[in-house]
Amino acid sequence: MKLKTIVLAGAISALAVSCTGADGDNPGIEYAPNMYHSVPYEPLSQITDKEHGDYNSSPYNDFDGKKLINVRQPVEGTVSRQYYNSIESGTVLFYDQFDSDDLDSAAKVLKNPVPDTEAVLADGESLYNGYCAHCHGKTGLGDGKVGKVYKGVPNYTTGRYATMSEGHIFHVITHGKGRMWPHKSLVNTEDRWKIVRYVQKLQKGE
Amino acid sequence: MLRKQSIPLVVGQILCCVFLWSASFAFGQPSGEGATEEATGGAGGGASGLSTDAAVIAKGQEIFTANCQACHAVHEQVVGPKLAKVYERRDVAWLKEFIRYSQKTIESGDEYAVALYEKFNKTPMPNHDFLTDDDIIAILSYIQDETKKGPPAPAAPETEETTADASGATATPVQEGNSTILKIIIIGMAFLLFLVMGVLMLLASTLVKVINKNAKSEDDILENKFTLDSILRSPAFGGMVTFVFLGIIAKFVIEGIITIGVQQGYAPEQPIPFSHKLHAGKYEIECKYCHTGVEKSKNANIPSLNICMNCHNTIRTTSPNIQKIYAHLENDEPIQWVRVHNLPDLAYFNHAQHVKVGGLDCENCHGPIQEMEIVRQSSLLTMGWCIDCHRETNVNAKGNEYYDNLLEMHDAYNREPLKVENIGGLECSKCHY
Repeated sequence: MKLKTIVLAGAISALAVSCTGADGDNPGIEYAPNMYHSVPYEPLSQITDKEHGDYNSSPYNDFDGKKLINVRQPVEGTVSRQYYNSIESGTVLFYDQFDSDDLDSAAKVLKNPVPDTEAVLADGESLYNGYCAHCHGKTGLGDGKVGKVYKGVPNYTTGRYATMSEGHIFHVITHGKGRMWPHKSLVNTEDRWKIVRYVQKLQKGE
Repeated sequence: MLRKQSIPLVVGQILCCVFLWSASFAFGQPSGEGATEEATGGAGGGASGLSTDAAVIAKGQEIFTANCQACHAVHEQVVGPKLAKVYERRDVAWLKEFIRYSQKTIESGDEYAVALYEKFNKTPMPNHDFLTDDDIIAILSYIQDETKKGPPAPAAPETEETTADASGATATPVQEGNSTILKIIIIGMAFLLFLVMGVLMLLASTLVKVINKNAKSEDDILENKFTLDSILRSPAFGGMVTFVFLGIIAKFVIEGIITIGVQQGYAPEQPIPFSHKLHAGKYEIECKYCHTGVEKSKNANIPSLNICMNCHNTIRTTSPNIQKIYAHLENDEPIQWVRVHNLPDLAYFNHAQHVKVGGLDCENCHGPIQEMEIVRQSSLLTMGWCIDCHRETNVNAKGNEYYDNLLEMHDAYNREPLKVENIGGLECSKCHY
């Protein structure tokens, strides 16, 4: 009788302790997983649990192979919406007029289609701080924390850099120059022109 | 996304970078030592016509940072060659000509200039015809000064890692804070329970005494001794132990049931130990630089490899973990990052709506991500947690014409500011459909 009680108590405590929450590699217990996981293809969804595998039939989530994460390149021949080369007013945004190595022509010809307004500058500042400032510095002095390690970051406010044309700036963001790599996949065409507006403000040291 | 065609190019560039880096390391080391030796010898000589005057050097530094720094460094090859001891390799007259009109020197068939041009993949150096003789002397004096000073001591990566480990250790107690409070509460409850039990037993014994007083003599009561054995065997003690045991079990079970479907604290190991503490914390890279979709899309997006490569084409190229990125690039395969935040499919969540329109910070839901060595789900992500925030948060209507009429109407009848709740933030179908 006593032994029974002890065994029972032990079993109950073991059961209770096993009901712990998520921690480290353990995601915890999932309730009704077939309501939690998407049947259609969701970006970056993952299936690693073979037992619950059949509610995502994406061929890219091949359970036994390596491709568990749903990261795909665009289907061949499709055009990303960001590459439609006009904004509301119908102005051409110039993203593909010049080859990546044709910086000189781009610098001479390209004109900024985005208006010079307070709102555009504010957007430009936010974009600049997000995509450029860690190398180029918040004020364009080339003193960003990453820039110091990466090296080869110019100071916008002095020398030749203070007079770079808007086309030049746009082309460099799009295709990169020197050590800088192309950023066209990160920032879309319209946003790049907004950044150009803000960089031109920085060039004046304002 | 990187296009397929560009991958050989990328790999080529990486290899080129690695090669050049190793080359500069191999050749740079002895020349650095030589510089210090020769510097002590040549300090008095000044045969090159360069100045050691502090004012000239300061002027040179200013011009250098404004015009040269983008492509050149003194102790390192950047876009162009490293400039340490350049005044010894070439004479000042040649340098003046080359700095002003580099293409002219190359076209004139100068052997050294042509070799240099070929070595650096025919990257032309722009003309600097606005620099005067004095300016160029100042720049060269600055370079001479820097050469003598020698390269700056490299930051030891070990210290970074040790501090990272230490912070990882301190991060766990914060997470456990909740459970320690619970433990204290349980111990307190158990103590109270014992106290109540004691009082009850006392009462019971006095009652028994009162009842027995009428029936038995005082001697009988004196004979009725309390022994440890009798206490342990008494039904009251047994009941007490069972009660406490069941209480503790109930606590565990309830806690366990609450955590079903809640992944707070989930911190899986990633295929590449990417540190947000280093990237977002130390180097202050904004979240959206890598999570490009956060202001535009439902998904914040996991960065594609070309975003890693924007920096890691040159930074820490020999680290085995960075090498893994290169391997994935070569094989054209995504990195199998383990998803940490899994919002159930039955609930709709949109990043752009919260970050761009609502103006919320990432830390609002993701916790102190810039301090995390390994990303951990810090919020509950339960419906109650969403609703709480929707009840408390004011609508970010600043500069958003969409809300103008709504705000006007709301303010006419309410003193409280417009909350997310008031614009349908608690409607079932906003998130469940």
